[in-house]
Amino acid sequence: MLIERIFEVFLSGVTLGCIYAVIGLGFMVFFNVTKIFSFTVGEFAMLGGMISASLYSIGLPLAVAIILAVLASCTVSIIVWLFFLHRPFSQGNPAVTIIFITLGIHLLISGVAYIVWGTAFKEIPYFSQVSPLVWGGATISPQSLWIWGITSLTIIGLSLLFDRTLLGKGLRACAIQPLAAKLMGINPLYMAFASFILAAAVASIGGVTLAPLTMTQYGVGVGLTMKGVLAAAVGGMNKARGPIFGGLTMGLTESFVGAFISSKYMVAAALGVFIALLLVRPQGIFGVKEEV
Amino acid sequence: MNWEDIKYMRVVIWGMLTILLLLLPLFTSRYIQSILIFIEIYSLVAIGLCLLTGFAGQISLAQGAFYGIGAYTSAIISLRLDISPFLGMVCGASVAGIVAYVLGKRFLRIRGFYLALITFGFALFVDNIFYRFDFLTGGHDGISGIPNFSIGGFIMNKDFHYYYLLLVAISFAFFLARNLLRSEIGREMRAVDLFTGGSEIASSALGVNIGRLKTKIFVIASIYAAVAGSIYAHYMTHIHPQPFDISSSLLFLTMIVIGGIKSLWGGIIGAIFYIGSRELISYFMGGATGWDLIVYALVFLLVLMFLPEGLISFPQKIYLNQAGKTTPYE
Amino acid sequence: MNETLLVRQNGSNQQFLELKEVSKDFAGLRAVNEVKFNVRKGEIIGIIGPNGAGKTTLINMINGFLPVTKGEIYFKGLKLNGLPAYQICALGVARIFQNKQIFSNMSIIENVMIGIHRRGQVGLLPVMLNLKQARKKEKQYFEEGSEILSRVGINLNPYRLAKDLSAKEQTLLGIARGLACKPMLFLLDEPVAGLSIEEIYTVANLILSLRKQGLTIILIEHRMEIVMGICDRLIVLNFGQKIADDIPEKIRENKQVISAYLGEKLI
Repeated sequence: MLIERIFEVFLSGVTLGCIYAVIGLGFMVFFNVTKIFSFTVGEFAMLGGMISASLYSIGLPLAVAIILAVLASCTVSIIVWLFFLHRPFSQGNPAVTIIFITLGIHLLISGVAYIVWGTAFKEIPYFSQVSPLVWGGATISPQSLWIWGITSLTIIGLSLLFDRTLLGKGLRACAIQPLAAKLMGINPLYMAFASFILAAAVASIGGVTLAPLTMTQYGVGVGLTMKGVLAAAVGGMNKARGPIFGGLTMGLTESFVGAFISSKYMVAAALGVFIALLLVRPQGIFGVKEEV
Repeated sequence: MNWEDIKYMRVVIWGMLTILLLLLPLFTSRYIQSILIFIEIYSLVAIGLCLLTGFAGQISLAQGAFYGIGAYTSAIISLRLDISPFLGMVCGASVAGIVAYVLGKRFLRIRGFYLALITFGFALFVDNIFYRFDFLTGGHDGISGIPNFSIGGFIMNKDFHYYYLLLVAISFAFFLARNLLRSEIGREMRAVDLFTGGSEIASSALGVNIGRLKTKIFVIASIYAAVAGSIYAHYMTHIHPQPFDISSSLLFLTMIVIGGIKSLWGGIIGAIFYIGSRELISYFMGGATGWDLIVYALVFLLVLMFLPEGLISFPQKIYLNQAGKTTPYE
Repeated sequence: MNETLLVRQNGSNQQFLELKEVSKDFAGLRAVNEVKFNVRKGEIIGIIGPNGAGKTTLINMINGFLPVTKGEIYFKGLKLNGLPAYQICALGVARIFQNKQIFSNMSIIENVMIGIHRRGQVGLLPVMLNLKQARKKEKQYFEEGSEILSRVGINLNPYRLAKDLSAKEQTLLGIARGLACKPMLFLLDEPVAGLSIEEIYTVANLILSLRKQGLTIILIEHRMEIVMGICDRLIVLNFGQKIADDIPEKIRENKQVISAYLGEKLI
């Protein structure tokens, strides 16, 4: 029985980890292209969850609600960019200022969310109403399969984007050497804009898949940002496998500590593990150390 | 009007303000006094954060956590071990300082490492300890019955006691910070700061240990926050975890930005603005709504985009122009 | 530059600076390839070579800004590679930058005071409390700094902002900053770029007087007037490789060196 239990806990950890990984990837995409630590990533995840919940509750079919929610998040990100980020980026404002601007955007979005939805918790149902499966003795909810599937699709989609499309190559060029990219005709401002929208899209997908598992609320943005950032930091921000690995580690730690030690201490334990990991290897597990 | 006249005027104005400040508790209600006390407490945290962010260029998301460490350590030690609260404050400051030292030593040596990253995780970690480790911190309910500060037999149990205590604390904190900025260490900070024409490369080639410099400032900022937290704890006599979470860290950052990060006064102005606007908006809109957050966020963004040097830049520019200086700490 | 005194000293034969098979890779590109040379105490060594030959990369490795991919650097017997830049400065190595990197918004005296700090700071608590020892130290820094400024020939108001200085004065300021660290080895990366002939002459004489005061100097330069005039030995780099290591007269006739420069006239 213990083996099955461990396997079950393992799988739920993987599920949770997938979501953290997706949010972490969103953070990493924007960070690599612009080197800006953005506070907004969790907000778009929150918007994905909240908007899809609201749309579903007014009668739209679930699939439609989800797609519209992701599109809505992207729209919000475009508006936010044009109002608050376009000018500072094009003027070449210092990074510290822009980081603070993303902080302001986070506060603004959660403030508006509070006005629109209040403190209500929203939920959306599991994506498919099928009874749980049993695999290797462990009970898996079909939602987990959805999450694994969507996460994999997201990762594949991102890698196709980065490898095959012109936009993706432009993003990568900016991430590695912005000056050279500029000389080759790539517009870093446009790349920053694109990566911002991309990050918002990815994060909102993460938020939508999270919503059926845990209820979502106007204030979850900060916590999700933190988890995404930590996933990316612990895993390493140089390659995609970084946030994936970091997210999985986080999810697994939370799951195992919650199941076998105590659910009260699980977050603290997970964080303790992360801080310890970063102490030992500050560039992240797969990261590359910047020369001093 | 020449510089001599202005200097004379400045002395008069400062003199009047000081007298006003000293006499305020005599003719204000307890409610107003408590608002003033909170402005003072936040100012104390903000001065430390200005040093760290404005002058050492580091963004810390853990000031709320250090604020809380000061409060909880001081509360637990003075309550459970029956020691003088002032000693508890020293302990709180020490714990905060040691943590900041360990984090700084490990992470601030790495070029380009964002302190924001590790302080983010650290803040969440500490927040969890405050909420979940009931046996130590009382969990959601927090700790009650925290003793007031006392000197000898005299117990500080009135608001105005804390008002004056904080005035002294802030003056001293300001004095220390200003000396720091004008000293050899302040010079090294300016040599490293890109925005004042400094260069990290040149500084390290001249022997400046940049990591150690930034760690020192981080430790100082954490101690300022911890002392403020401890005063908060002994003033309120009851603490719960909510004021010490990540949102308070973020709020402290926004305060110093609005006030002006490159000025110690900016911290004080930012605290006044935050608390003042919060009280005014809830007064006019009848209680806490989402609107105070939205208005505050918009002001924050507007300041960042159009007045990046903060509200202090108006009086600061006038002063600098008249005095013929380009930066205030030479 | 016939007027310049060509003083070829034979310092002691102690190996002052040794580079052993030093290499640097940048993501597959080998910028410096197994460079090996020695410097004796009191020498003035010139490092020359076409643009992109790896000269500044080499200096960055000696200085501690870039980690060495392969090989070792020894300074008076101590291994330098792997140490951070500020520690290498404390051991006695100072450096000038190609693009000056002066602290533009600080006064010239403050620029120099940064280097002096290293040799005995007061400490955190005394400065925060503004104790007498802190204020005394500040005065000391100021006096030492003023002395160094006049030693290099800057006779301006010490409170002038560094960015207001002319090109030559900025060069001298860079040298003054380095001297403040009391170095034994001084790395000069294109100190006379953009200066007129007379200004180069002044700087060259300054460098010679520094050598008289006991410094060992490594000089990267393109201007042949100064290189041929004051260097005891020249090391020539091309495509990251050392192709010659000899006295200037022999270098002038070295066929490999001439073809490396391909058409540039050596004075």
